[in-house]
Amino acid sequence: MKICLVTAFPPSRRGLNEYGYHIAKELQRDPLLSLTVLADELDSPQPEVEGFDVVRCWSFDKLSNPLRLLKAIRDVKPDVVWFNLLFSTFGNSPVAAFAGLSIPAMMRLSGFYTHVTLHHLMDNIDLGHAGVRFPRAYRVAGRLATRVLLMANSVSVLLPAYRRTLMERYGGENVHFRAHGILSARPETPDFAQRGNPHHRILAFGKWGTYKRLELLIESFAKVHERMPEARLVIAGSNHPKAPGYVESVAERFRDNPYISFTGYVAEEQIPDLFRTASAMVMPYSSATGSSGVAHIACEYGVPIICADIPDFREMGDDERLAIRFYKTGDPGDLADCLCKVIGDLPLMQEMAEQNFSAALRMTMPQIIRQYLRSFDLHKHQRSLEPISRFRRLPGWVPSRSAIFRAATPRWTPWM
Amino acid sequence: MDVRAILLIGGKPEASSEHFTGVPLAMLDLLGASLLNRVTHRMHQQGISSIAVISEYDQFPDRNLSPDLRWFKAANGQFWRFAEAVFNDFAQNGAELIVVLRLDSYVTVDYEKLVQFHLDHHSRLTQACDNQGEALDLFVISASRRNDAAFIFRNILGRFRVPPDVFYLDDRRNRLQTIADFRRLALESFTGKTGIEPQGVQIRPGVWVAPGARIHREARIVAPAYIGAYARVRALAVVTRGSVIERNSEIDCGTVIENSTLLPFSQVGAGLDVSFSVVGFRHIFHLQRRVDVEIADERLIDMASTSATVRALSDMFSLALYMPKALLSNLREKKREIPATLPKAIQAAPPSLSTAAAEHQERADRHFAPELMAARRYGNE
Repeated sequence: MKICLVTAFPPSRRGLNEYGYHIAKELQRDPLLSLTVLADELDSPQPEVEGFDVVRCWSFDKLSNPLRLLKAIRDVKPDVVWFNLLFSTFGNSPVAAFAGLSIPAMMRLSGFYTHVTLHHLMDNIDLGHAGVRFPRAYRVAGRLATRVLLMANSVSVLLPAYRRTLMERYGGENVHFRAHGILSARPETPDFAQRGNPHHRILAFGKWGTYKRLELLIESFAKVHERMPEARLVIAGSNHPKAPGYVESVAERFRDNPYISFTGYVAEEQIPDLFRTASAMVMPYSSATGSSGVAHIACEYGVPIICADIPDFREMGDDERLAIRFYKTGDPGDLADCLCKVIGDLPLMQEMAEQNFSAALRMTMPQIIRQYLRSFDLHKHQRSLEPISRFRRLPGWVPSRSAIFRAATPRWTPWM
Repeated sequence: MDVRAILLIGGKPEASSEHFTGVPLAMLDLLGASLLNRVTHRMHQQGISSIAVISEYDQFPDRNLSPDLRWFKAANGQFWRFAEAVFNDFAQNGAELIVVLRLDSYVTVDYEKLVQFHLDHHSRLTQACDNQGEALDLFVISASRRNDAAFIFRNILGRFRVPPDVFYLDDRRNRLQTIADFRRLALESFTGKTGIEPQGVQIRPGVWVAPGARIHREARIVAPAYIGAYARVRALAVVTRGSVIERNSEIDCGTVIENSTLLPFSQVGAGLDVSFSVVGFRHIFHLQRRVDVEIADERLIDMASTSATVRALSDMFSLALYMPKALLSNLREKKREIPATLPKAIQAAPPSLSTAAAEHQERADRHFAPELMAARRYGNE
């Protein structure tokens, strides 16, 4: 099976590049698959990740993306075109983003089987927190874009609530729910000797500046540190593309605080060390944009999670049976209490870590990718059997049945 | 000498399985002719003048069956009384010897030799055994011995007033208890083990085709195989591994028939793969799983009428009603509803996760006794 994966891809740092990389890595392992990554163009030339067939054929915020991608896909002639998408994957400007989101429908019209993994829905995003100037206009455009996305052959979303929304509000038919997955084939058993030894490291990881803010976390950390002097706060990750300079400004403000450290952008190979030594991970968000990739990485390393009480995250926790402690969104006192409770109670911390680890065992990347491949395979078989199914409806008296059969199914081979 | 025969189909308690969808196995075509047909033909050839068939079932249409065959359908419980009455009737009408055969198996019998043996031994009753010494439900009874016959019939061929003389046949008996036995008999016949000859012309080594059969030039027939009279194999179909396609059957385009039998008048739809099965009367019996399934979708498996007139008329009706039917079905078609909420089974927590959490809880609650010590048996720690 030939697959074209349309995604942001490292060394690009655009949204979902890590998830795209892990999908590609998993697909690449299957010797029966041929994978071509249709990735975003880099601002400056950099060496490609080794072992992947990457074609950089689209750019962020460019209106020519549909035509360029169509040409690239026609050159590859894949069986499946798989899009790994956010609403802002193809651009921040509404026109470029909308043009990009219409590509799956165009590919389907061109005769390619198109699958979209959609990481969030506009309906569930708090546009105020995301720093959008005209939220109502964005909302309308978002609904239109969602309808256009649903014109793909099939769509996967990462929360059951999203599936429900797409089916009930948009009348989507081929919508599947698939777990996010833990981005690795084998989760790492938590090593408690590395945690709280000598400091309890509280980790915050993400792209900061929009609905992920650090002020609340730092405020509550001050209270935690008063009660537990051995606590340290590690803030990892870079700025959100829409909030350039945010992390740097916060780092500058707390430059003199020895208990808070800023790591900046964390490369893929540094992630294990960062999570292995963390006693807990905090998600101090004001709203959600879908299933959290960061929470799944925490599960991969068996790290307890403390998270703002946002419905999407509650549902994710319930569905995947993750060990998450929720604090009242926007309440630094409650966050501090939660942190102290988890870090200060070793058996509870271990229990949460083990529960997250066992959840991770159920969501390894090979398992998730196998589900996708199975549905692609099923579709392929279904498509090859469709002409037969239509042919069977012909009544027996129709003359020249054999000739009609040969015309209807030119590539028919018996299943032997 | 006036020798007549009574052929019995059913009658014994174990005979309840000797049929496929209500048609006795003895009446089903096997490589072009039913066992009943083969037996009666052989009997006629070897001088048995009149044959009566007593059956628990209706007669399955078979044009090749001898027209002077007398057919009696015996209702439940009356079977052996019928047999007795027919025996008496034959005896009164001048028969000297009467051959009684229950069709629960197939074995090649030389009836001339059997009758000669009976006469040579001045027997009242002769029973045949196969070359393995297994007694068959095949007897020769002197017509004058009505009481002996009545005793045998009343005891369902199981007990005798006088011990019978035993005549040993040269062949092995092929039991026909189930449809799987029937299929095995067909396979063994291809290899010449049974004495059953396929009715048709051998067009290639191992491929027999009966008159009237139509095989598309793009169909593949792999030996050994048999295509019955007026059967039709359409383009890109494959018949392989000892498959038997009986008369008036039809294999639609692209279908593979592998190690299977299609009973008379069966129709198999396009693009299917039929393996290790017997197909007939809108049923499919899987030989390995021993499962019989009725197929309601006539586009997959169907059965044509046994009457040519009815077949022609039904095609004409189908032609006339095609357009109105298609319009009506399009109007009635309902959109398939997909539930927006996932089923409970999918939403429920995986058992492994709850077990892990529960185990942990249990571990946390447990208190070890202070004097308890654990050591590795072979360790140095």
